[in-house]
Amino acid sequence: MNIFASITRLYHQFASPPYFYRISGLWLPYIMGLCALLFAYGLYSGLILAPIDYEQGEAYRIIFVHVPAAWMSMFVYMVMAATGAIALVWRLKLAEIVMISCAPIGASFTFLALATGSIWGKPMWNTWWVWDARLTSELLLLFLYLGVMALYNAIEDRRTAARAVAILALVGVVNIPIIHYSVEWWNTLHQGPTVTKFDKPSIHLSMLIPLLVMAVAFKLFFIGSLFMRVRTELLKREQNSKWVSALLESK
Amino acid sequence: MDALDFGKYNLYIWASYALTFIVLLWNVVIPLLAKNKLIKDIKRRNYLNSNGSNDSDNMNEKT
Repeated sequence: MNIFASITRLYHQFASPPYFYRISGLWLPYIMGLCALLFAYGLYSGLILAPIDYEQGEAYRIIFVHVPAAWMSMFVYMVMAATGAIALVWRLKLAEIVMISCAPIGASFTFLALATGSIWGKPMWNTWWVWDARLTSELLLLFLYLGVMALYNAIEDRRTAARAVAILALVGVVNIPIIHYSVEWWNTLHQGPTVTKFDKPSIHLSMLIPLLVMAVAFKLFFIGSLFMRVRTELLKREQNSKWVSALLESK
Repeated sequence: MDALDFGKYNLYIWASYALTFIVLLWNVVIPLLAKNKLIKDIKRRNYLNSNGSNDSDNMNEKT
């Protein structure tokens, strides 16, 4: 019972804007620092240490940015939908802000996955684009993100806007398993899952390590960038409160 | 730097990595600019309020 009470207290403490602002500000440099180190190592091992692929030659090296970006495009969407659900049920202001701050970051990762995939497709498939299931469902994800941002900006009242956006984000979740399983359900040019399957990953360790390092770096980057956006939005919404005035006066 | 020469795929690989760099940079620069602008706006508004400007009431409602 005591543990439950302290978890609840921690939860409410973390969701309070001044507390979150202070704690996220303390963590931000460490998150971005670790992220930079991982990016440096990921680039070094991916571009220099990893051997040439026997089938795709050097071109496969695009995987080290393409796959992490694609994974993040879906992960960010799930964070957005989950915080959307929290915002709908508990009306937490912080959850609303996290939800809407996810959208531009997720959209940029989705764009990156599509663009690098297109650049990879040209030398490998001899085409920039095909309307197959994987590519089309990922494009739909980009439109979902853009729709979320447009809807949020179209409604004047921030809290009403957040509720509308949360519902849209939750409905769009149906697209995530479609993206993931599209390469198994339909015939496609896109290669099947290489890492995320129950069997052993069909990728050599010397290529898997840089891929995973880059994936962690992308994830940390997302957290850092999200914190930056959330902190600004918190300041904006709470600009008439005492803690913001105190914070700005002390600077 | 032979290790960074990817032959006929040079353009494709470097274009992908350059694009990644631009997207990541955008995700840092945009929030930073937004934060700086917001802090400047709040400070200016607080300054006007503390000096009893006529506009102060309107500016409070704007948020």
